[in-house]
Amino acid sequence: MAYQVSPLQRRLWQLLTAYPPEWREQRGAELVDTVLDLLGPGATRVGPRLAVNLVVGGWLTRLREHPPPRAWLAYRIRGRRLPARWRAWVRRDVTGRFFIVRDLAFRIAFLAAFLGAQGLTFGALDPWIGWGFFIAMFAVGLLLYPLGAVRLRLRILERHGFDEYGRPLPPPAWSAYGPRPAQQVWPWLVAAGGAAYALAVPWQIVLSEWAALDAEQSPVWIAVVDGGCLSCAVLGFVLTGLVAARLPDRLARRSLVNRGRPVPADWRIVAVVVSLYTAASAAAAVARAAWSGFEIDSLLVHVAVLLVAPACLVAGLVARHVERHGGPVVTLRDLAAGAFGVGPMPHHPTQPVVADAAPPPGAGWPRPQPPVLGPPLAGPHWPPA
Amino acid sequence: MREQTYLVLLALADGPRHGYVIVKAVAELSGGRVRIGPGTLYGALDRLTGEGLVAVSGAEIVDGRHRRYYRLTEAGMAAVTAETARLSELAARARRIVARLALGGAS
Repeated sequence: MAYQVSPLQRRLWQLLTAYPPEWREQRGAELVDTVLDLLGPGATRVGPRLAVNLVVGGWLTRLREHPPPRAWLAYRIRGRRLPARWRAWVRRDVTGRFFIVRDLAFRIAFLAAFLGAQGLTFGALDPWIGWGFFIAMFAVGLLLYPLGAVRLRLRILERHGFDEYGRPLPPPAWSAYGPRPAQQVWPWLVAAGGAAYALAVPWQIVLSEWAALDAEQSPVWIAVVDGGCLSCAVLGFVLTGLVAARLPDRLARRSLVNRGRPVPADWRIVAVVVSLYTAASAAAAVARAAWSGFEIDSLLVHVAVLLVAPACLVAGLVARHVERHGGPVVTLRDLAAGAFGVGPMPHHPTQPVVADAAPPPGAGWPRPQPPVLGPPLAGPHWPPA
Repeated sequence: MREQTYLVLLALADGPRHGYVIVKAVAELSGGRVRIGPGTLYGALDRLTGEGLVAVSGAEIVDGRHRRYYRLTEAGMAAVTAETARLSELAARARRIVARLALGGAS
């Protein structure tokens, strides 16, 4: 006998699109039937209050299944793997509509926030300069982003134990991270930091002094040069990454157990460099706000550079030390830990230290999903044993 | 504990119930004052299941309607008991205050 769906049921299923698809698949029939019971026989329409209740309930469910802000930021910015609790969310995010648009929009917003710090540094001089930054970065992003977006999608899926179609891989394929060899690390690290600073910081100093000295300089010209400065920095990052990707035995790769293809690099060290650069800029900006005046500002920018440059040097030296003495398995996090004091250095060569606290193969990950959803209501699983 | 949560837990104290019965029980327990919508109910059930206070005890299809039954866990029963004791103490204190005020007003 064919199952007839009434207009009321159809309307309820429409409202249930506010719920996550997995939830709808497992609980939708139950919720629809509960609503039909509540409406009673003969009901033909859903009242506005009930409709709002269902939609709000759906969005709150989505919100509840959303990763916490910090994990979400790490995932969004660096494509970092989220714990198993949010695997379903990740799959929905990556395979859902407008993923590319959403991701690009977030990255542009992130860049805008980053440029906000720059804008504070230069904003007091002329708004054109801030716009120059933004336009240049946006243009570079638009040019480069589509090239990496597809790869990003695949990388995130693979990192969360899905194949390219979003189908779950069997547990042995993604139960743990594999170790990463520590060879040829320090050139990568030093090159990334060096290229970024060599391109960005001197330009910042020059422009800061130049614009402050020559108040009659054309703002358009300043904006073009200023935007070019940041474009150079971005291109520096990209070129460094491309060169690093061709280095033999590069460190910034992590393999999933039993997977032939390694997961592409995540640019932790670039994040560290950008963070430092942003911190230096923000420090200069705060100082500018506190003490206006050319001499102080110029002095502070120089002080910032003087503080950051040794940090880069320390990072390089520690990378070299760890690469020589740290044992066969070292990660970029270990290097950052040694360089910037954010964690313990690796001690024992035989004890793998990986970026995330990975359980032993076959145990712990994937953790069993919490029994929130229960078995699906339709199909041969109903009723559950 | 929010009142709605307490009422949902209380509705399950008698034994496993499905969504429709829980909504009716909540309305009955509150004297018709609290009417929990289905979207709110299933959100609460998800949350309480995640917290280990409620568990799914079974499922069936009755007259073409999908039913999933929820029951209180031991932790859920303990939470209801503790909240009931707290409310009882509060009510007792409130009664004493009101009685004192009434006596004061009479004199």
